Amino acid sequence: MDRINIISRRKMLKASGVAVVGGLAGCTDGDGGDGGGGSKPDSITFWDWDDHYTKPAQWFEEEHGVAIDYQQFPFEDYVSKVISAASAGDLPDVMNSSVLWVPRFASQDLAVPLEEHGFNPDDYVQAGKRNSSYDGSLYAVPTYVDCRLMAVNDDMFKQAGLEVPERTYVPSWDDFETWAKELNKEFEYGASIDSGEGFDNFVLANGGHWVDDPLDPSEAIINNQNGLETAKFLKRMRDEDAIRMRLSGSDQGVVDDFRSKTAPLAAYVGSWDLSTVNESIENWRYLPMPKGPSSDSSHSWSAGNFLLATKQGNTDWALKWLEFTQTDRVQEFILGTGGFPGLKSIYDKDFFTQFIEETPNAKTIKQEISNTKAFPSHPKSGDMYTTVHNEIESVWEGQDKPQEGLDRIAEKINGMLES
Amino acid sequence: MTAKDSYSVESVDDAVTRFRTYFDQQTGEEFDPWWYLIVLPKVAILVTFLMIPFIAAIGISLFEWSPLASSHPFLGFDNYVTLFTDPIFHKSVINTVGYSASLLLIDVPIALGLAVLLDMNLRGTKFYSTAIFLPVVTSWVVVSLIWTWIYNPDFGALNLFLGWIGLPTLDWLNNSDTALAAIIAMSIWKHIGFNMVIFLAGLKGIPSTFYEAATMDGANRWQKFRYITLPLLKPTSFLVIILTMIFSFRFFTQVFVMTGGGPTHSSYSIMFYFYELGFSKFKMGLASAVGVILFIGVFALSLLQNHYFEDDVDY
Repeated sequence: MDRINIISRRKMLKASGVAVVGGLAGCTDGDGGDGGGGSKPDSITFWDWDDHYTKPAQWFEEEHGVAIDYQQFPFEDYVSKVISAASAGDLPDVMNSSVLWVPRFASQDLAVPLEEHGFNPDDYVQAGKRNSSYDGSLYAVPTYVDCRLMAVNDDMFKQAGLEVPERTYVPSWDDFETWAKELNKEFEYGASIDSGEGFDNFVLANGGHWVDDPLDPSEAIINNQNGLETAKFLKRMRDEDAIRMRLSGSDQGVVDDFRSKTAPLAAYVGSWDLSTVNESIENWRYLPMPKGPSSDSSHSWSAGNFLLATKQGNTDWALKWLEFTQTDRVQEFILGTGGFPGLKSIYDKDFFTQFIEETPNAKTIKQEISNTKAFPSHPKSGDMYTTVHNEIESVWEGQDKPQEGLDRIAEKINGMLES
Repeated sequence: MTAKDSYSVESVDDAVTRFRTYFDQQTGEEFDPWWYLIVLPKVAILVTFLMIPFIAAIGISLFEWSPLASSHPFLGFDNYVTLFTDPIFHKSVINTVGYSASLLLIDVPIALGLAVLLDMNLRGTKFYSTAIFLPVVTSWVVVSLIWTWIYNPDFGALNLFLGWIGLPTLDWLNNSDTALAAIIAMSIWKHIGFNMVIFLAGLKGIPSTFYEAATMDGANRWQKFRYITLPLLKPTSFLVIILTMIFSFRFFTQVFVMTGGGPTHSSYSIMFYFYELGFSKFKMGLASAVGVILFIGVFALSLLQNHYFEDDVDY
């Protein structure tokens, strides 16, 4: 007891302090990126939300002797994962990026500008070039580009007594309404529409957009006549039960409705869903999004996979991986996953021509890839995406009139553009 | 004594001696510093992972704070003003209060009723108590996923059953009128066992002599419940209500998994908005302000409840 009693408060504080310092001494920096690179590493880290590049990663290792530590994270958590890692200086060497994130990562100085390392923006298709750039500079490599389309179940169309249109036929809103209502008489739902991007693509196909100039946005135009016309059209269709509107937060989406044959007509279905839908439906086809009365042709969003080299990683070898993804071998492989090449030169290759001939649905994709519209090149395009898709639901639910809902969306987008 | 002297070893030891004497007088036990060493790790963890972040959050709430921003301008109370004028925040508060009220008004009475039934030691008590408590020990994520499927408008068990008995089927989670109610119903189902167990423990602690005396005085079952059970369950009820209220204000997982806050923010909760501000939009200052407001609200309610429940019941 005497020994215990001689432990004074000062000695206890000293002991605690030593313990804390000892604990903190164990916290050392892990493997950080060297921000440049020069010597050949054993591996480079590549983040993605899917696993499309598993085989190309193996080929890269065989060819260069450098392994790709290919890590996947859920898409929903991807941005927060990247931002958290960036704050800690722990970004991977290369990462995949959605179209909405390229401007954000570029504006926050996380991505290596590629033109100074020999990448030429004019090598890429228009859609890919626009979405990989920020402030006039190329920051990402569009390994593949995609578009959004309608999907039609041929057998269910015939069952409802409708003529199945040609794959490259651009339907009008009247066509869409007729089909939806006729199909609704025969099946549980005539058409399934995504409440967010489905609305976006109808707006684009009616000559509208979120902003005046996607490459240099200064003003929101979602609430102009094109957007209003679109909102009123879809609201009416929903109120008449001619379409099933899939709202946000649904555990299932439009593609699920199409694959389960709950709805014979679906908008939108991504070009990347080609192989997925093929697994469930034998006789189906893509169609372009229906063009609105204020447009001469169909349009849809363009997006894809955009690989960028991070400034916190091994730049030299990250760029080597980016170059490798541009090779014919990798591009041919990616074709099979549903993506269309980002590189212009691939469109002249024999394997691409053969793919188009052997895959009827690819004809529609090829046509519509050239009709795509870019997302706004702005660091807050991701926030705009969330705002438009959350706020427009109040119109579908009848809480707001279309003009009121769109005006509120425009006000919020303008606020983002000004900040 | 000079300032230098006040920091001398002798002064520190004097202070320790005075503290020991005070400690011995207050506790009746001899001061033993080893007890402090035993709780030190827990205190260190509490301070490091709770107190420091909490105080830091209060500080961050006064700034515009984005993880990768080069500067964090001081805003004062602007973040709080932004929240108080934000319709989405209003919606999240209303939804959270509604959720909390539903649990207090539905979950707690039903849990009490179930506890009273189980306290009667009827046949099958062990089975029923296990069955009712089982959801409590199941993960919220798992339960939310299962109920998402139960609520599925095309293939879900609920609509299947309703259709079978001729009632209208609804798109439970895809409809702003029913999304929150659907989440509340699931939450009550999952949480009720927890309150039931606490009430059961409280009921077991009421001496049977009170009931015997009441029986001799001619009291019926309802009168016994009204004049003996309820008053003597006051401390237990206080605990259940406090815990239910604190739990309900943290409601997040069900929203995240089942509806994503939609449609049209109809199932947004304060915690979900906090998460979205902090980890989707990276507006850490605003998110911290939400956290501070939530803390103040729950703390104030706890103080109120403590004031009204502080009197003990003596028979």
